[in-house]
Amino acid sequence: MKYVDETILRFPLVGNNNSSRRKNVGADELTEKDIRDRKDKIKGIIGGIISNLILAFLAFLVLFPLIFMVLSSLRTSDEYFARIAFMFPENWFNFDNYKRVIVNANLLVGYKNTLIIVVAVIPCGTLFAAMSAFSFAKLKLRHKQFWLLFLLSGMMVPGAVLLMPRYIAYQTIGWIDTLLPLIIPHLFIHVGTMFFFIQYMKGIPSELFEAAKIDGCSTFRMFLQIMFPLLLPAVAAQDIFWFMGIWNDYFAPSIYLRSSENMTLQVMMASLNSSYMGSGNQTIVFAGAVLSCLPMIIVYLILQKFFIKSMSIGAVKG
Amino acid sequence: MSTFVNEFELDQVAYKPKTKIKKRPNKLLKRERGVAFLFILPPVISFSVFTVIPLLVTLVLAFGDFNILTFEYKFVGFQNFATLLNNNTVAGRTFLDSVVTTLCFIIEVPIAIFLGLLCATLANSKGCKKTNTVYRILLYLPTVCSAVAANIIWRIIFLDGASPDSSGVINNIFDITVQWTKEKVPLITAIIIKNSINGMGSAMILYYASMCNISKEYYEAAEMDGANGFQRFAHITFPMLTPVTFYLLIMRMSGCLQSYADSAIFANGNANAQTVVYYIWFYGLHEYNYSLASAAAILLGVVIMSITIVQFRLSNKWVLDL
Repeated sequence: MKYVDETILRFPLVGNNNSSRRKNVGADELTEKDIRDRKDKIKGIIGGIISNLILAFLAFLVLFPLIFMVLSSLRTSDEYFARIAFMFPENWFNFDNYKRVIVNANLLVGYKNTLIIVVAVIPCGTLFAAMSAFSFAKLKLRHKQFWLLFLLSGMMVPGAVLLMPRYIAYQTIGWIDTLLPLIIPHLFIHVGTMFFFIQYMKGIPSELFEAAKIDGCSTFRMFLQIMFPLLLPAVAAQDIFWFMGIWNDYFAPSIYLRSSENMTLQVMMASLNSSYMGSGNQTIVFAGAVLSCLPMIIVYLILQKFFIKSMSIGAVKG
Repeated sequence: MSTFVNEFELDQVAYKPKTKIKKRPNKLLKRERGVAFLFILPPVISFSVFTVIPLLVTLVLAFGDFNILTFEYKFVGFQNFATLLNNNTVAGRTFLDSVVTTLCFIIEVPIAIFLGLLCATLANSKGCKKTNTVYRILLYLPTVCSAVAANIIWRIIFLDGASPDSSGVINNIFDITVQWTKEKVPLITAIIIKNSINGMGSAMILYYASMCNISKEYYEAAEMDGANGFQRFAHITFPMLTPVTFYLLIMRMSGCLQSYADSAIFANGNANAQTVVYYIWFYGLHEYNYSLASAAAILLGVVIMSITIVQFRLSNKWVLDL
């Protein structure tokens, strides 16, 4: 036996029934396993390539308007009108349109007005939403169910339904063409935020507050020193979307604001669109559009993980 | 046995008065109730002033004939609603047209949700383990951009001109001369395409997040039983995602019913693509026919409220339990 093996080892190519059969058996076993492995691997790779390609295509579809917007904003009017659909600029660093939109259209005023609304509404609104949520989630409030349903019913009423009475009222007290109609109604109540905070507070153990109560802590201090610090993650998650909502709001501002020194950024963009789109300076509008989106895009790219997390929490629970 | 029962009963008797005393509101409880009410007072007042009262005024306006210049009001019952639903008057025809247009816009909801689900499934597959973060960031990006800017750009993309040089990308790529911004059917189709692509990102993020929350054990068990990829998707993933699908359907639908920027900016006020909200704005604040617009607003409000109530009723699983 030993001798045979050695000869086979020494002369593997010498025709020998025994050895060839052995080789074949070995090869069969290997190839069977190999084929299965390789099939799986190839399947995986092909599947990966296909799914990546589909996703890349869809991402391109979704991002195409943004690409078009940025590239078109770098073109001159002549280039643009020569061929609208061909979007690549001749000079990639032509920021002329941006200069013109900031100087001529006074876009910075729009930024200022939008920021005034944000700074006025969000801190105050967050505080009052958190206070009412605390009352609903942790305090012994009488007729709790009734009040909660009363406030939640506000979520159902679409803005268009309240449009006419609000407009008439604001006109009589002289709020039209000021930022007040966009600030005052939102200072004390934001039902969605309140709802989200109630959800979040349900997860904070009540024992904390019972212990504080036994130690003689007043209710307001309990809110300020125990609840509010614990609520901060929820506040951050909610406020970023609130900020986005105010930044991108168009319907209400477009109705209440008239003169260009009071317009928010989005209204200004729309009026820029209607006044320049018919003229020969359409590329200015693209520069304006880029500038109106840019702050949100930057905030999003910096905080993208946080954004995506907050969005899924807020939506699935709220 | 009997002594035990007696003792138990005695205990009950002995404790009864005590619990009664506890139930009577003491000073501390009263104070807490007071503070709790103070905490909800600002929202309640603000809500009453800015929502409840306007809502009642809208109801009053809808059932009457109101002249803004003279401030005269006359109760007319259901006459405004009759005008709206009458196909023979201009206002009624326009309203019914706007209802049909708004309902057509809803077609984008299932498309956007399907595309979102497709993206999430692909991003969650093994092949995209390394790349899915990038796709998630990119696909969600347009959602943070403003609707105004998006509508302006999409209008240029769909633009139709006399020659290829003066038309947008779509007509150039497919070498067609469809009047996307003028004729009714192409205009509505363009808005549906635009909204489906724009709405895909948020649907995808939501689906992806909840796919990650599905326990791996289900898939392991299914693999053991020899279920293939499609079966696993149809019998585990999709049923587990029902709450998200439902949430997306409701939210996008009520958003669609209230769309305004599509008509005002993308269609540039074109009569072929007026939504109900645009109609309310046009007849109310442009033509000063407050009563007619209020009646239209009430009809819209009833539809949206019933959709929201359905959502609250059916979604107890992931909505707050009182």
